[in-house]
Amino acid sequence: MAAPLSVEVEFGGGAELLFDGVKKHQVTLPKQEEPWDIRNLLVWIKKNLLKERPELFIQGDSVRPGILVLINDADWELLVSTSGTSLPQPLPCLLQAVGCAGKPWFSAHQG
Amino acid sequence: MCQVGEDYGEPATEEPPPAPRPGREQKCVKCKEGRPVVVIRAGDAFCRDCFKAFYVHKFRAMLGKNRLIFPGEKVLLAWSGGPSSSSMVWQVLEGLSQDSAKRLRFVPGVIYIDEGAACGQSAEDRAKTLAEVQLVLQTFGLPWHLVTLEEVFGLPPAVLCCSIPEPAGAEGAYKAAVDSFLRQQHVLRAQDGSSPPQAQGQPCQPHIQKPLGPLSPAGSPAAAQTEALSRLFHSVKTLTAKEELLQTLRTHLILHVARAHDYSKVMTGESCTRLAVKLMTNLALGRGAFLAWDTGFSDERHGDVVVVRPMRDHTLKEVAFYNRLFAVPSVFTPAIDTKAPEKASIHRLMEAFLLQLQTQFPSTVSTVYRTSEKLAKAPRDSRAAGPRCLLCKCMLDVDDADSATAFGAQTASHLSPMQPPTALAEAGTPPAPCCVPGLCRAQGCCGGTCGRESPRVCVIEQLCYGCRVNMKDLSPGPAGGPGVPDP
Repeated sequence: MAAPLSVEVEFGGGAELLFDGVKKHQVTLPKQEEPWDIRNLLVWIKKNLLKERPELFIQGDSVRPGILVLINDADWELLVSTSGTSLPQPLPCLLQAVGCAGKPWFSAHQG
Repeated sequence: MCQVGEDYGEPATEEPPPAPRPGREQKCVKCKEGRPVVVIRAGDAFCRDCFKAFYVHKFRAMLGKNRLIFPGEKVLLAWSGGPSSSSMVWQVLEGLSQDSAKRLRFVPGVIYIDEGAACGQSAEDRAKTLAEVQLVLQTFGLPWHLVTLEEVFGLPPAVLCCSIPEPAGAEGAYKAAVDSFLRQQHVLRAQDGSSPPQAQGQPCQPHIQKPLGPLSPAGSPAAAQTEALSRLFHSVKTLTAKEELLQTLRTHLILHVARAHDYSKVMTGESCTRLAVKLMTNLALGRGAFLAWDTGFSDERHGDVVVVRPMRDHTLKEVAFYNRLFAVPSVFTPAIDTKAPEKASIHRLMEAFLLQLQTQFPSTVSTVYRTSEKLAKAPRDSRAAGPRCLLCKCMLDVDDADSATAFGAQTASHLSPMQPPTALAEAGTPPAPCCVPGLCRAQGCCGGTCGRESPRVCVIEQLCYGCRVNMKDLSPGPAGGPGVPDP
């Protein structure tokens, strides 16, 4: 059981084009059965925030290769276990997607 | 073999040896104290300060190792607004403000090219972007040149002529230049007492360069030229050729500005990742012979102006993190291939391929980069000044009389069925990409025989294989050509 989680999600480096040009989104993730993790968050973002071309942002379980993810201003890979890139990780806080042209970014922070 | 997602039935054997599992208490691998913020390469976690030191060191080492930029030289920084070039400009700015021992000693200027017309941006979007760009340019505080891609129509044919490259300096030339520069500084300082050394020479006042071509009084390009440029790009059939055309026009424009203002070097901000993609893409485009120039640190094919790539050791991830952590200003502008599907062009396909491979095999990009470092530029014959490709200025090292090669076959097929003379040919203006009017005449290529062959064939004969392949995707266009306005 996960309580509602307040998260600030930011897109940049070109990723914002897929979200109507809006860079910062303050969202509240609703209550749900499983704890919130990155995979769930991505699914939620795809359903609720993504405006167009999902294949340019999400690929399978994770973000498309080339998109950098920051969690609380730190590299996502710092939290990744050895089992792979797509992972169930308890969401610490705000997620920020960081990227640059050609490498769009997306990050999240706790709100 | 290297395909991501392929199932061999034994996935365990494919995984790289497990790195120690990063826990919450992980420390920076360098200083062992700080909280890590970014993972570089495979598994090296750096804290913020160590990352900054690492990043800056790479930049300075790249410049210092190659010893190509002499003290006091004027260097033009090609800034696209994107992260890599913004980072490069930022590094130069920081380098200029160091204490004198480590200070960068060249004189920079910045150029920004507004490519909105080629990318199909509306006038309002372009104006908005330009406003942001000007803000950032003022932040930089360097002399800047703001040009629009439409000015390419105003370039003289001389821009395609290759000036004789200066003979490479003797071994000790660089050291001697640095020594004499330092001695000058000592003398100046002794004379002036406490005033700062006149190393930079020119005041750091930004100014707008006088426009090269015909511009409307408001300073924005004439609508006819914008129209012409967008028609030109629309007439290109494939995205691949569009990207190559854009690259060519951009390069020539930058070089022209550099020559007009006495810049002897141009710095472009291509990162490691971009160059790896470029290397593979160029192989697919038929430019394998010129990889060393297209992806190396220095590119001397234009003779008097040398293109230098100081960011070639930085991956896009490092650039992105640096820009984010240290608030480097940049302006995002949609490019010609933004939001294009994966298979839209060879460039996109290669980028998707490499980035995908990189997720599973983190040394992919660096391996390709190391390969590009090993490419040598030895000319085929010793110093034979052979003909050069008209558009990309690379040495035509193929014997086009030999029809057994792909190059030769292309030549033969263009010569036999003569292109029907269009009204365009009669006008004497070359069609399609040659937005340089009077090209044939300027080059003097056909002597008097141009009358019987179309100018397009004349031009194609002077191109390298890669450029010829691109030309195939450029349609001749209606009479009057795709927008070559009367000069």
